Amino acid sequence: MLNLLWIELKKRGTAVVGWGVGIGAYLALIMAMSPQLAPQFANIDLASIPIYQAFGMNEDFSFATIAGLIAVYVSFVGLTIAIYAVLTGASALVGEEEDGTLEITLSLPMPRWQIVLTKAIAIAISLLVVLLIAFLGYLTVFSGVEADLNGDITLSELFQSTIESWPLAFLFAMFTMFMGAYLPRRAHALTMGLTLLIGGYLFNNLAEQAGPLKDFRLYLPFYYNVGGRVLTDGLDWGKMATLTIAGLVFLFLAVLSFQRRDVTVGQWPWARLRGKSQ
Amino acid sequence: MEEYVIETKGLTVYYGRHRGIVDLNLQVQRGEVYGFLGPNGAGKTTTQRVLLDVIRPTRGSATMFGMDCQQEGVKIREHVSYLPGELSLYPNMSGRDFLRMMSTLRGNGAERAYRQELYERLALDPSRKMREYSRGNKQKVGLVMAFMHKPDLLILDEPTSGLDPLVQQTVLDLVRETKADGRTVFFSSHILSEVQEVCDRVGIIREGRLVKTERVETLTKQQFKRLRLNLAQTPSVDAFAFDGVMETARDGNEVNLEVRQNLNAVMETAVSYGIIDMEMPPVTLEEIFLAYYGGNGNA
Repeated sequence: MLNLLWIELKKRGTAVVGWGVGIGAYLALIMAMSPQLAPQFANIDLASIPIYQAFGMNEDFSFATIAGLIAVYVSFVGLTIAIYAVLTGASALVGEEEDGTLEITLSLPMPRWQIVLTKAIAIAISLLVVLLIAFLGYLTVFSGVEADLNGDITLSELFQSTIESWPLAFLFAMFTMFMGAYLPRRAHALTMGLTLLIGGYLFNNLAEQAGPLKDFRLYLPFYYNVGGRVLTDGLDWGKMATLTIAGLVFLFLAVLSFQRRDVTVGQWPWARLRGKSQ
Repeated sequence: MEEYVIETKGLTVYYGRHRGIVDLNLQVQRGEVYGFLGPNGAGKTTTQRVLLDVIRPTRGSATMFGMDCQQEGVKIREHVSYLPGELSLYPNMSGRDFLRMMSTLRGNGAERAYRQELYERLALDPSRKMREYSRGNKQKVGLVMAFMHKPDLLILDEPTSGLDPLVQQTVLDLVRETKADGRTVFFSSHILSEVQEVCDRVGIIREGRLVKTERVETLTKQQFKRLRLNLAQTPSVDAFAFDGVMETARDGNEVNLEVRQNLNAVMETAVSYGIIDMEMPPVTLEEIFLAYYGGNGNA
C-alpha cells in the first residue's frame, strides 16, 4: 500500500507544484499590491454590489484596509483549491479507467478497496501540499507588508486561513471520486463535481443575502468554509470536522461503488442491473 | 491440488442487453499453452477481464488455481501476469521507471538480471519516455511487464501486436520457455500461424460461445485432408464424387481434393487410375478457423 501511495504522490507531483505555485503567486501579487490598492477602495462600497455579494463579499469584508483586502483574496483560496480537488478526484478512478491504466493496476495483487483508499490518501496529501506551497508563495512577500498591517493579520492567522480550505477541498475531491466510481465516464463525474462546486458556491453566497433561503446553506459545503473570516474569527473546528466527515462518507461510498464496478465497461448503474437480469 | 489452472463453468457476461460471453466452459491445464482464438468482438478480452476480476460475470463461475476469481482475486493475481490487448501506459514515465513501478507494486521483485535480459532480447531501450515510444516499443514494455516476474500463469492478449517479425519470434520463444519451465500461458490471438506454432490446445470462440476446444494437431488433422494426386490416366469428371469429398482443382491428370469422409473409396479410385505421385499438403489452422467463421460454425 505504501508503494502505491508513493507512486500516486509522484504521479501528482507536477500538478501539485503547479497549482501551489499558481495560487501562491496570485496571492503574493495581491499582497504586494495591497498597500497601493487599499486606499483606492476607501470610498467605494463594493460589498453592496450584487455581483460581489455573489462571490461572498459582504459587510464583514473591507476592501479599504490592507488586512481587509488580503482577507478577501484569501477567501478565494478555498474556491481555487476546490477546483483542483474536483479535477484530481475525477481523474483518480474513472479518469484512469478511460486512460486505460486502471486495468493494469487491477491486474496486480491488491484489493480494490486498498486502491481507492490509497488514491484518497494521496489526494488528501497532495491537497495539503498545494496549500503549503501556496502559503510559502505569499509568505515571501508577507514581510514586506507586515509593517502596514499593524498586527491586523499575523503569520499564524494567515497560515490557518490557508489550511482551513483543506477540508473543503477534501470533500470535493471525495465527492468527485465517488461520482467517478459510480458514473460511467470522467465527463459525468467532472460535471457533477463542478455543478456542486460552482452551483453550491453561488447559491451559498446568494442565499446569505436572501432570508428565506438561508437555512438551505446548511446543506452546502461552502457554508462550512469560513475563508477569510479566519483572519478575524479564527478557525472553526466544528465546521472543518463536518466537511472532513462528509468527505469520509463520500470516500466510503466510493469504495462501495468501486467494489461493484465493472471496470473498462463504462456503463450506467442501471445498465449493469439490466445485464444481471439477462 | 487443483486440476486446472483456469476453469470456467457456464460463464456468462452481458453488458446491459449486449452479449459479452455466453455459457463459456473452459479448462486450461497446468503447463500448457492454451490458444484462445476468435475475431474482434468474439469475447476474448471479456473472458480475460472476468478472470482478472476487472469485470464481474452475469452468471457462472470462474476459478484459477482452484480459487474463485471474485472471492480470492488478490491471491490469484499474485501468480498471474497480464498483458492487455489495448495497452495504455503513463506517457510521462520512462519504460524503466514504469517497469520498476510495476515490480515494486507487485512486491515480489522481478529479477533485475532477467529484466535486463528481456530488454536485450526484445531490443527495448527502457530509458525513453512512454510518449516517445512507437506502438511496437510500448508493446515491448508490456511484454517485459508480463514476463519479468516469471509468473505461474501468463495471460497474453494479442502479445505480438505491433511487433516486427523478428521480435514476434522472440515473443514466441519466450512463450515456449515459459512452457518449458512448467508454467502456463493463456494466449489470446487472432494470428493463427503463431497460435499453431506455440499452442498445445486451442479454444475457438465465436459470438461469445466456445465452439471448439482441441489439441492443435488434432484440430488440423480432424477437419479434412488435402490430397494432391498425379494419376497415370485422366479420371472421369465424377470419379471422386463421393460424400464428403470435394474436388478443388484439376489440371489434366493432376487432381486436388479435400477429403472429409470416404478416404478408402478415394484411394481405391485413385489406384484404379494409377497413382504416379501423391502429396498431402498440411491444413493450416487458418483454413480451419475460416471454416468455423465463414459458415455456420459447424466445420
